[in-house]
Amino acid sequence: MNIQIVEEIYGMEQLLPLVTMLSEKYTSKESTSISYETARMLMEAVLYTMGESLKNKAALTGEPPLPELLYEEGYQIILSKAKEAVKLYEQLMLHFEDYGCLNYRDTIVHGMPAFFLRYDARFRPMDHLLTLDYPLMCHRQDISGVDLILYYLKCIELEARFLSAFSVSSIRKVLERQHSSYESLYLDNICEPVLFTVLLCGIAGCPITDLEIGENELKRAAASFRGYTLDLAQEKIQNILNKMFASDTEFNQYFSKSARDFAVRIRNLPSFTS
Amino acid sequence: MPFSYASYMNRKKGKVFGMGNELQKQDALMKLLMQQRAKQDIAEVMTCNERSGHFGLSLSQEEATQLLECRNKSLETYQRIELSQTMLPKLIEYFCDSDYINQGDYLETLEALLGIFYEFKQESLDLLTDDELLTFMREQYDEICFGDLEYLEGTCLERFAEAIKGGYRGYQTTGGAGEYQQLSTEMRWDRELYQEVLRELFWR
Repeated sequence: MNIQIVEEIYGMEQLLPLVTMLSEKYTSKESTSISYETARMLMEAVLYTMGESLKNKAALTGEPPLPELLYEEGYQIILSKAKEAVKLYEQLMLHFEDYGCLNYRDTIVHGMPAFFLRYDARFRPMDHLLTLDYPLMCHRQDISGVDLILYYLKCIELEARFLSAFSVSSIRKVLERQHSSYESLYLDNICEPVLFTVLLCGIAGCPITDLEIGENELKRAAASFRGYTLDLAQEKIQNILNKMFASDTEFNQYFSKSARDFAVRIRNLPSFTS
Repeated sequence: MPFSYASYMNRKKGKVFGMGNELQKQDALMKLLMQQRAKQDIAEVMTCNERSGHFGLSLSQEEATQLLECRNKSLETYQRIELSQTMLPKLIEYFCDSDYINQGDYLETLEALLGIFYEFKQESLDLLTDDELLTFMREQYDEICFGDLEYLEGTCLERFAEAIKGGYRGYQTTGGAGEYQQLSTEMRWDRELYQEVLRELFWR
């Protein structure tokens, strides 16, 4: 995507001196030639870096800035984002709770430091290196590199903040209901079943602190959606989420993205049809 | 009209399938850059005549152009690109005082050497610097291959590249010099072997 943006403003010809400069740095001037693959990687690095700078500009009026200036500005932004990600990660680790979930622990505790050790802001800024096996509730596929890592960590921090409102044992019980061997085999997001349980408790009118919902309450919650189209069900869930997170817009914005998924899940509950 | 990143992203959404063409375009542009530099490269090659002339070797303007065309083909064959400067002056510098090159086959030898150079730049996973590879090539060309380019390519460099792929990094401290003794599996005419053969022939 960045390729097209920068191309529209500058044209590839203007970017070649930047790629040449980068290739000299890459080879420490000890190699006069590079492979096509490396050249493409460096071109992508230039485009990503300049794209970072462009993202910060709401509108470009008049003459576009010199590509070298835009590149250097973008590089500084990438560095500051990487630093912000380190800080965020360190804060997250202070009170990190994995709820016994192996996939969550492996991705955050064992996997994430590799990014900070190996991220190459100069030559491969678009490469975030990690597969991020633990899924977020709201994943984004349109970003990469440090942007993705920063977004991922912010979401993890937000989800962890939400989960911290409940006791560890009650969350473990929710996960156990998802999979009896959830410690090693649960590969999905932790927040999702917890929030879904909270939502059902809210609809059925039972206390949410224990994250427990009885069979009758479940039926009652499902029944309240009978006759609703998917769009109407989504709207109703959205309203509940709005009330639930009325005091926290950050939570509301993030979790609202799952309203439709929850509507589908409610319609798929066995008690919905019975 | 002001450029808005956000609106541009929206307009361009879903247009990601043209990436293959974009890459081809990038490659073509980089090649164009190389071609634009051709005059400068030829001039650089021509200035090498000054030094190679001491050894009775020189290239005409036409031959220098031919050498450059050959370089472009080799680069394309091995999927490589030269962005800032050409390696040809360095290649000439390294080989012009070899006993195994004469004016009659000068251009032909240079063409073969540069093909071999790019091949093994690629084969060595880009781990060798130009100087390390050229040092190794020159040493073996004279001392082991005695001017045999096929042996240089098919045996000496092949073994070197295999060792590098296998994790060997000793060349980083030697700069590519004196490396082949460890890789060679053939018995060569060293002092001991020479005396042993002499003994066998005359003192038996």
